Amino acid sequence: MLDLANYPIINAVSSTIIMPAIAIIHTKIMPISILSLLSIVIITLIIAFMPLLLFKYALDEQLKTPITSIENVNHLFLPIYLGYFFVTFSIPSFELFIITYFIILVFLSFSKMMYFNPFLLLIGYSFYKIHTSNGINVYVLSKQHIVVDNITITHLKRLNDITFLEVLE
Amino acid sequence: MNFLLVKLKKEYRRSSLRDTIFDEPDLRNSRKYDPRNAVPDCDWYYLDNIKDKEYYNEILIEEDSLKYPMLVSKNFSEITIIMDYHDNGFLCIQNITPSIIFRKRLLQSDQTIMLPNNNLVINDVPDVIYDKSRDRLYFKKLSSIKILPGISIEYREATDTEVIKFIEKTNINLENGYDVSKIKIKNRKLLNLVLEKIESLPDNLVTDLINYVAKTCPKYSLNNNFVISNEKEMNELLMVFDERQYITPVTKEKRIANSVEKIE
Repeated sequence: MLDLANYPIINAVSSTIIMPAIAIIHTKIMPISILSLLSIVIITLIIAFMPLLLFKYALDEQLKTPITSIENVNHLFLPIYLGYFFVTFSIPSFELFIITYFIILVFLSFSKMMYFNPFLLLIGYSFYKIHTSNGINVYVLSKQHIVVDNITITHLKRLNDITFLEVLE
Repeated sequence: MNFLLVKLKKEYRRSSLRDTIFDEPDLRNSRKYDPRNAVPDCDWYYLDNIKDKEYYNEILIEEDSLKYPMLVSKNFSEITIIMDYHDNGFLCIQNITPSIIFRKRLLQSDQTIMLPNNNLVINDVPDVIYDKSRDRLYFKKLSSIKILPGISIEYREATDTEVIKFIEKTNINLENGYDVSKIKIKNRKLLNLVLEKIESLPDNLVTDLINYVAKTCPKYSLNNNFVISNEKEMNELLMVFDERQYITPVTKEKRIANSVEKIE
């Protein structure tokens, strides 16, 4: 069973795939042509959306305790995305980038971080920080525009131990 | 949605297993648990109203699977209890002892194989089952309910304070060097049951009971008091209080009942 939660490397790569894509173009490691650009874009998109493609294998979760507060935390990610871009643009050589990227992936795989995938925002997902009356604090990615408190969420998939993605039937 | 939690030494974790691991056994012949019932004549006993008890643990009705981090292989050797939550509100529990977690070679009919990773043996039948909709706990032995550590206190022996309360209520005098501290476990357990019974009776029935005991055991009664000087006499007196040692109404036969069962 390919549980996304048990393979943090998938989450780490899919959320940061923008970095190698930019690095390849920026350091001109590949000859720039329409074909190469197109293939980079396509591969980047496939990898970035991989968690969605692997969804049916991810672990189902439920949250039956009513939610007492929901906060949209999309704004927390802007500094992170900017960080991805600036770091990538500031590394002069592709080899150096590979080393840096490897270290970043190691950190992301071993820590329970929020799942910073900018591509999901592009297709309409938002990040919510959810708090329940019995002390549960988790992040939920959802396409719904959630404003109302006191709702329950039943269909979730685990991305990591603190981040979950809401699946709409 | 069904899910599987495991209890480690100090925390709970969720297993990535999708299916349920226990089938619910046939619980139709279960009996209400009664410590007086010494003869085990059914497979499953049950206790009701667990929610109101002191030993209740909310994990029995857990529904929020996402609260728990994933179980990883390095935690495996710390597993103490596995909890299989079913869709229909039943929770099947198995206790895990270190001896059933193994990593050994197995002999199959024509070869030996080494199973990868850690493994643990899942029994055919769970140790404890909790039915959320009826608030009922099913078990085969009281001692196997490790998920609720305080439960054995409910059926424990009487403390000294309780012994004193009992002997005051029933006008018992302890003589000949036999005192509260000398009362042993077997009598204390019985005393606890009798005290519970007396405390649940209205005053007139308590007086009736004391009179009945005085009539049945004339050798211990003296001037509205009972005089007891050893364990054996205490045991006999307690059995009469529990109405388990009695004289039959018509044939006047003296009887003692080792195991009784209340019919509703």
